[in-house]
Amino acid sequence: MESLQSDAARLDLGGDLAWRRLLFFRPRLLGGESSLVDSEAFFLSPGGAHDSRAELQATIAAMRQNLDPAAKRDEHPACRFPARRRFLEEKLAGFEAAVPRHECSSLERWREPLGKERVSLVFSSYYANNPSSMFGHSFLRLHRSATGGTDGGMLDDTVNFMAYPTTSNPMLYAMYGVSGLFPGRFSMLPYYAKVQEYNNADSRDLWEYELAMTPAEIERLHEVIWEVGPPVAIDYYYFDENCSFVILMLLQAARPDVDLTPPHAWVIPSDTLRALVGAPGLVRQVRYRPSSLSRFKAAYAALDGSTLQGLADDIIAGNDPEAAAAILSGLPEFQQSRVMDAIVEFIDFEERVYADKAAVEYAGLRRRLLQLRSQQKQMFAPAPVPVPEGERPEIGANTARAGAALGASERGGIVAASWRSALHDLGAPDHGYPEGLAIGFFDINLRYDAAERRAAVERYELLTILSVPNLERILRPWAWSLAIGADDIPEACKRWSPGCMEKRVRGGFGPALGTGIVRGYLLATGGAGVSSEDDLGWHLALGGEAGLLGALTPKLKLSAVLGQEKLLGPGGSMQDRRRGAVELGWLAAADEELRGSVSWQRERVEVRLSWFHHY
Amino acid sequence: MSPRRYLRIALCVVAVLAAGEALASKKKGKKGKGKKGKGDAEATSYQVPYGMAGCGLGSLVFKSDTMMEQVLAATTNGSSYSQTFGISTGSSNCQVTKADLAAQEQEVFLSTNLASLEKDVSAGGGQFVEAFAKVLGCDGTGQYSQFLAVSRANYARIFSNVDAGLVYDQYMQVLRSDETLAKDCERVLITSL
Repeated sequence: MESLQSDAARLDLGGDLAWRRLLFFRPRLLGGESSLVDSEAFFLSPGGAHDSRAELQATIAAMRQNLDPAAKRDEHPACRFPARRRFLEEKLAGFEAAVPRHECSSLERWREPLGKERVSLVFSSYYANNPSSMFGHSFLRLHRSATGGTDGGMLDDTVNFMAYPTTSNPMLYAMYGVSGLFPGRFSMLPYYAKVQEYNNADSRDLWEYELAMTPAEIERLHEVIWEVGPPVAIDYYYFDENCSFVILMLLQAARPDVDLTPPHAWVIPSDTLRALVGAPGLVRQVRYRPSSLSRFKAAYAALDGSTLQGLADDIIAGNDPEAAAAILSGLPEFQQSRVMDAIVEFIDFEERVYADKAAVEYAGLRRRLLQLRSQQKQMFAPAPVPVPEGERPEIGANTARAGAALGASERGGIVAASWRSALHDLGAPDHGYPEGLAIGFFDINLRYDAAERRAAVERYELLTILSVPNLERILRPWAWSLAIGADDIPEACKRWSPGCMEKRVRGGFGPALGTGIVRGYLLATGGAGVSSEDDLGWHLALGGEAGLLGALTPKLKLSAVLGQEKLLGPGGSMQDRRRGAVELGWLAAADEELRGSVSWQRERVEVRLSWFHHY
Repeated sequence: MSPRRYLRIALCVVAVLAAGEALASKKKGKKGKGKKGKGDAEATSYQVPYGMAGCGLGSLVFKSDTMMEQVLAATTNGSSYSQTFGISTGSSNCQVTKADLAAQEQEVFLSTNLASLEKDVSAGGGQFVEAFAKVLGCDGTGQYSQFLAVSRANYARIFSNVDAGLVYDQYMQVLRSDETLAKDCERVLITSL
């Protein structure tokens, strides 16, 4: 054994990239590397999480241990860590002979039925009106069939990483999720369960990125999954050690030759998709599975002409199964099937029908329509759903944004700079992003006024959300907004200081209007704030906001907003605020945006030209 | 910052946490814990053996989410399903028969995909009904088209119930009453209902 261990040291196998990736080692901000994994169960040496060489030596020693006859064979390290064993067999001469193969019945029983033919990374996209879903979620799919079968691979296995929250108090939930106080674990479910959950329960599109992996690499992936499965835990950090990052690390452990390092310290799922697509030859094919909303939209669009669509609207409005049957009997069978599909897809989306959760309001109508469809003499498949190429999650600009701008107001010139960690705002072209959904984290805007020689933090936002869903036929979407941040108060603070800002929280709610290229919204807004202005202090705010968004082309966006509010301070003091802006944003290149804007607030009009770089 | 300000901020934090807790316990009260309660809308628990080597492997627990839960869950990639890993939790002496296992897999598939299955059967084909045929062992050459035809012809009888368990029972009766399918579908149980 001494020679095995000294050989390993001589070859520095403990420092080998493939070995470190098996241990889920990652570079740390302050230098060095350590493992992502937090459970002691994953390591055979006491300092294994920080010392990959010590862990290698300990692994060799552990594998060579003799089996205690009384102990379960499956608990032997050779059965516990098959991926490590494979690595040592491949790289260390004499290891295989020195460590006889063990019979690992649990491992074999577990891996035998797993999908071995292909592996895809599946990304579930956003759901309109659920902004946190905008970040997306990824999981792995282990295909059982080498080519797509007609059963859609419903019985495939999926590998999922998620946090196991220990509290349902929303405030603690947020805090714990951000600071790594929830453990995260891997789990597996049949693919059909994920399809029902994402496509139907959450109404989220699924985008699947089939990966180029050899059968040996897929076997290694299975072994790594086994090694890192329960009870092993990885502390879940919302910003940087979340599902997408961990899934990427899992892929890297199976494919150490590929570099999937994300672009910045915090990880956003769509960034990891870009890393995947960016690795040459890694993604073989991309497939799309529509959500219930996408199916509903496509089914309605497939009804040729407004007469059939009007018919469908009437049947839904009437919600009378027998009347519906009578109306439909007048149509040729093919058109009947299309109208029925459109109505059923509407019901399934509107009532969030999934798994065995049945429709309630339209239950009778749905049942009758499906019965009628089953009795048709001919069988018509539903209309296919076109793939929305413009919404592919990997084509959007990167999520962090740095900007520089030049502008002018009546008083003189302005130079500005900005930085935002994530994600997307509605002034920007929507190419690759969901239309009408904006979320911003940690957005800071700096400004220098040449005439007054005043530098200031013009504005910072901790969190902004604006959701303006598209108005689909017969849906009644609501728009809403949330903003937490602070604004500069130039009149009150001749020289800017951090204390001299108006900190505010605002929420808004109202109808979304319009459809397709132009959409608009009207929000009633309210909130509170604290201002350094003498006569304001703590105050409430009430007002309204109107906005218009025009996607002239996927890369050219026109937006306009008008807002007015009344601030009510202590002692009855009141202030009126009015602001507005018109912006034109152009995505000049994949990660570069040019934006021109005219804005007015606090009685100042300003023109600006900005350049935004995404990374 | 003055002590008064600190106090005010502390009080705000406490208030916010308390409100959060109140919200959380209100939700807990509403969510009942269901055990294999077929048709129980709150939480239904099943064994999921397909492709997961063995029995007693945890359950597919399904909970209905409020909007707040959805938003929170999206931040930790949580799911409507509590998930399993497919490793036998020490149950090497699993005594469940193959027939019982098959029945469980079929019931789980059906109840997890009921709404989609209804659409596929009524249209005469689709990914869900094809996968269901596989789980039933009716996917051999010639068997599948017979399976589809029989399912579709009996659509009203099979899917007249809201309860997934009853749908499953009806479906099995229909399949068994067809000579070819009762003989050829490898996993449709001929034994008692």
